[in-house]
Order: sequence, then structure tokens, then C-alpha cells
Amino acid sequence: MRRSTVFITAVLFVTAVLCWGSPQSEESVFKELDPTGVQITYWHQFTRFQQETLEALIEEFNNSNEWSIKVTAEFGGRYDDLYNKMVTAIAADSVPDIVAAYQNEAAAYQVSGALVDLNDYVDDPQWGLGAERDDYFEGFLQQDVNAQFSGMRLGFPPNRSLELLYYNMDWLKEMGFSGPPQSWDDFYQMCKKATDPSTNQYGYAINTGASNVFAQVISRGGEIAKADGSGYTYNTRQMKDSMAFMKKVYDEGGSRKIAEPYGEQNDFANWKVLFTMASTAGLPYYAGSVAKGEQGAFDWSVAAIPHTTSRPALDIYGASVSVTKTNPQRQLAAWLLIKFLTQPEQQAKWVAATNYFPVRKSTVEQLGEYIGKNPNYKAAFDLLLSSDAKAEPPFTGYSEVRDAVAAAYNKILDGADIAATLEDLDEEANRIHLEAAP
Amino acid sequence: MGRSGSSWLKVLLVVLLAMGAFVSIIPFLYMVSHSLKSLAETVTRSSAIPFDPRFWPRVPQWVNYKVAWQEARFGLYFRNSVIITAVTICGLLVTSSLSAFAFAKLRFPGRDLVFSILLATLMIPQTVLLIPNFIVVAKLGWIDRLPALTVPFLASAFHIFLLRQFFSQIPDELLESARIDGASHLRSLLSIVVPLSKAPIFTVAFLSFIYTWNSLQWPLVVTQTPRWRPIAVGLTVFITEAGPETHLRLAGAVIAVIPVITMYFIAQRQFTEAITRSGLKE
Repeated sequence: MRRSTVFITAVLFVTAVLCWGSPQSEESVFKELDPTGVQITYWHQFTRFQQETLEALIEEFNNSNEWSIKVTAEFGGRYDDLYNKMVTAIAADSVPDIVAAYQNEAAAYQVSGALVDLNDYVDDPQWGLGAERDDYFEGFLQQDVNAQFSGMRLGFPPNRSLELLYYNMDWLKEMGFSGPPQSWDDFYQMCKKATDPSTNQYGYAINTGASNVFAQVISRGGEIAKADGSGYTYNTRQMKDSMAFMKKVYDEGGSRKIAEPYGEQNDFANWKVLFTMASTAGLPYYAGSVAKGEQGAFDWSVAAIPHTTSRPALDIYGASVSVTKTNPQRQLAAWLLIKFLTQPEQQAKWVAATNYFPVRKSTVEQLGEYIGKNPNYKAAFDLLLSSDAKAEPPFTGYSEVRDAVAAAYNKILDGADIAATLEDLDEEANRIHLEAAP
Repeated sequence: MGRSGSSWLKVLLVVLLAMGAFVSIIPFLYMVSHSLKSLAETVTRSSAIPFDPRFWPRVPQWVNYKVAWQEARFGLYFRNSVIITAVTICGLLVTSSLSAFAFAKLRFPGRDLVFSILLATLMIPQTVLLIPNFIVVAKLGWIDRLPALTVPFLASAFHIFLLRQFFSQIPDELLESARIDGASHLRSLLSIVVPLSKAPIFTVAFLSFIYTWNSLQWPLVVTQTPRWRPIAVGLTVFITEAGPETHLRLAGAVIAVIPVITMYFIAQRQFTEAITRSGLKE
């Protein structure tokens, strides 16, 4: 072969290797983007002290960011109101840059293609999380990755909460128990012993919400939805066991339905009920109620929901923030705000105002004073670190499915056949899923 | 039945009505009594029965109203609600009375067809209209401005229907007499029809007042800042995610409902006066 031919072939080969065979370029897809001077809006659901704290954090961002990005935070109502407002805004092409949304709400927005895939920002070599990603709770980050939309990341978590068991330790000790229940059998025995009609005391204040149903199912190693996003599974063995167990405790008088909103907190504070199951966001309210209860303050805390799994499996939930499709500069500015709000310094301030869990592990180093004043928060945080955190499905239509789940749970407690009711529920949930599918 | 039987019946009727009234008023009493409790009392001393001492506060906490007023920016929202409601009621009365008069007393081609179409719009749920109305308001540049909160409600098929039904009962002879004397349609409406229609007009005003005063969803959708938000938005600040602040929430609710109750009593008196002063005699 002639020398020139060899030379040309070698050059072409090297060129091919450099262009296609080498590792992927580390260049940012947003390399040319400049968010300087951009003004964006953030629709949130917070009020009073939480709103003040959020606005202070945003003010800090406005004054400190190197791009002179200005963010305006606007209260958009509570979750349902904010959802209506956002749906209307999407139709009118008048969206904010960032909006607070539960995962299923974000999915509903994405049916209209209104949101940005944040995977592009999270993984970006210039603007992404980089090495800091390891500091985030991976389970939290995965919640916003939606299988219905081919793995798009439709939101980013600013905070999270857990569904836990609240228990009265003094009462347990009086009954001869040394700690909260680990298994559902323990739970049953404790409820039975606590129940005394003569003193109007009972074991458990029933929470018929869909989140609590999910918590019960995963505590038994089950799931309520298919991982590929194709539908729900509400007629599994674990679901039937959960409902049968609660029905048994209810029929024997060991648990009661609560008619008044937050009535279970009052009963807990007044030593009427031994256990409740609720969000960790309620810790300050429980603390306040217990301090003012009929019997005065008593020793109480939180524990993992009783479980049959080797490690506790806990329902982790909370609204994320989603970035809407506007223009590349505003989208990037929105992402930069999200990164700022999830820095440990900002997260520590946010935790102190909201009692939510931070999304960064290193935040706990800055929470010494807060944890010292709130030992039950530490107990909850320790549970987060020692359990398997699972999230409810982020599917479109899940809000409607939640209503159906609560209705089915109530029907079962009122005497309906468990298998038939769950069969109907499964059918209805999957019908809703199909109708709402993108 | 003798006179004594009739008396017993009356007594029984009064007792039953009193019991019904008492049951109806319990929620209001609950709202007021628990708005005057401390947070501790809402936890430890709560009852739904007025005869239970726990129903009532040990020491009324009037400071709850001050806290609710300040925390929920009630001063601003109250002012906004007054302005929005006043503008809406005035506009609604003008459009409804003019339209109702035309449908009731004027003859023009397609009158009945147009009226039927108007009635048909009553079957459209408000939620369905949310997005198209918002699009129009957004395109007009009214977001976060007073027109967004008032203009969409300045006409109402229901109120037109209500007034039209009443106007239809006014004898045509009265209007013919006025016409012979040279009165225009507008003059007839203002000088004859409206004075005879105080009861339905006050009804329209009162119903639109309640609707506008309690409106939450539309104001939240079309406002972005507190600038023009009404009092119903202020109440949402006490709806927390994970725990109750019952005493403050109810204090806010009492503040919000006082104008509604006041308006009711004002309108009720006008109803009675309008009927007794009616010049119509068969």
C-alpha cells in the first residue's frame, strides 16, 4: 500500500475515534446560555411563617446570585387551588417559571407538555449537581422521575416528609410495654390492651387516606402500582392483608374513625388514643397539642409503621418544584434557584421553619440546635436514614385514584366484602389510569 | 278541632320550628365560641353541644381576632372585597334589570329564542368556563387587576331570569299608560318597574353579594399578588398542612361572615317593606 494511503487512512481513523469513539464530550448543552438579568416567578403554596421564610431565602438569592437573576414568589393558594390555577395558566399560555406540584400533578401538567425535563439540568457538566449529587437522598431524587413519560424528571424536591406512627410512650409503659410496636401483631395487642370503653380510650385513630394505605401495603412488602407505569395493583395479597387487619381492629373496638379534621391530634393529646399515623410535618402540631392536653405533657415519639419487611419501608412524600417551558434563559435561572434552595445552608433554615426533612444529607450538620430542641424530629430523621423510603406513584390521575382508595377503605370498615371491594377498586383505579394517560 | 286543639297545634309547631332554628344556629354558635378559645382550649375543651360547658371559652380570647386580622392581611382583603362586591352588584343590577325588562315587556324578533339560549347557558358548570374566561382576561391584560374580578360577573343569566319572571307579572296597562304619556322604555323601567320590584332586586343584590364575597377560586386564578385579592383568600392562610389552628381560622371566618349576615338582615327588612308598600291591588 502506498505511504500516502496509509497516512490518510490513519488520519481518518484517528478522526473517527476522536469524533465517535472517545468518551462523551463534557461540554454543557447550555454552554452558550447566559441567564444574566432574567426575571422569573415562582408559584408556591406556603403561608404565614413558611411564606416569610421562603421569601427571605429568595431575597437572599436575589441579592447574592452572580447573574442578577430576580425571582418573585407568589402565593398561589393551597395545593388544589394552585393546581387549578396552573391548569388554567397552561391553557392560557401564562405560566410561572417554577411551580410547586406533587408528582402526579406535574404529570398532569406534562400531558400538555408544559414542563422541562430536569434530567438535562441535573446531569449537566456545567450547571448540574456534579459531585454534590451524592449528598442528596437518592430516593428523594428518584420520586420525580416518571416512567409514564419515559423517565423524564418532572420536578425536583425542596423537602420531604414521612408517614410515621405517633405513639404515647408513657401509656405503653403503663400497659407493660417497653417500646412502640415493631410488627402488626404487636400493634394489635397494644391497641387491644389500650381500648377501654369505660374511659373512652382506644388504640388507633384510623387514617383512611391513600397515603396511609400505601404505607400499610409497603410495610408488608407490597406495592400499589406497576414499576413500568402501566397501572395499579390494588388487589394484591398485601393490600388484602392490610384491609383485613384494620377491619379486625376496628370491629373489635380497638380503632375509631375520626370525623373532625385533626381530631386524632386532640385525642392523642388528651390521652384518648394510643397511636396515630400521620406526616412528620405534623410533629410541631402534636408537640403543641400535647403540651396543652388534659393530662399535661407526656412522653411521646414517632416510630416506623409496623412492618413485616426486614427493614422498615416508609412512605416518603412531599410536593416538588417543577420548571415550566418558557425560554432557555428563564429555565436555567429557575434551575439555579432550585439549586440554591437545596444548598445545606438554605435547607437548614427551611427545616427550622417547616419541620420538613432536607433533601441533602449534609444539612444535618447544621441542624444541631434545631434537633436539640426537637428530639422527636431527630427520631424521625434517624428513621429516614435507617429505612427503605418508597414513594407513591407519580401517575396522571392519581388524585382521583386516591379518592377511590379512601372510599374503598371506608366501605370495608363499614362491612363491605374485602376481596370484592378491592377488585372493584383495582378496576376503577386502572380505568382512571387509562383515561388520564398521556 | 276545637280552639284548645288548635292552640296545642300552634304550640307544637312553634316548638318544632324553634328546635329546627336552634339546630341551624349551632354551627354559627360553634364558630363564634371556638373563635374565642385559646389554642389549648380547642384541644382540651371542645364540644359540639351548646349545653356542654366545654362548648364555651373559659375566658374569651378577643386577641384572636386581632391576630387573625393581622396574620391574614384582612385589612387589605376586606377593602378589596368591599370594592369588588360593590362594583359587581351595581353592574349586575344594571345589566339584569335592563335585560329582564327587554325580555319581559318588549317585543322583538327572536326574543323567545334568545331567552331560551340564555337559559341554556345556566346548564354550563362554572368550572368549564374557568379556562376560556381566563384566556380572555389574560389577553385583555387584566390579570391581577380589578376588571378581572368584576367584569366577568357583571351579567348573569340566572339573575336576568329571576327579574324577568317578576317583571312579567307587572300589568302591561301600567306601562301603556306611561307610554301614552310619552315615557320612553328606560323611563318606564326606572319610574314604574323598578319601584315595584324592590323585593326581587334586593334578592338579586343579596345573592350576588354572597357569591362575590365568598368567591375564592376565580380570584386566586386571576390574581398574582395580594393587591386585589379578596377576603376568602385571607382565610386560606389558616388552612395548614398538618395541624389545626382552629381558633384563628374560626376568628377569620367570623370576620368574613359578619358582612354577609349584616347584608341578610338589611335585605330581609327591605323584602318585607317592599311587599307591604306595593301599590298593586287586585
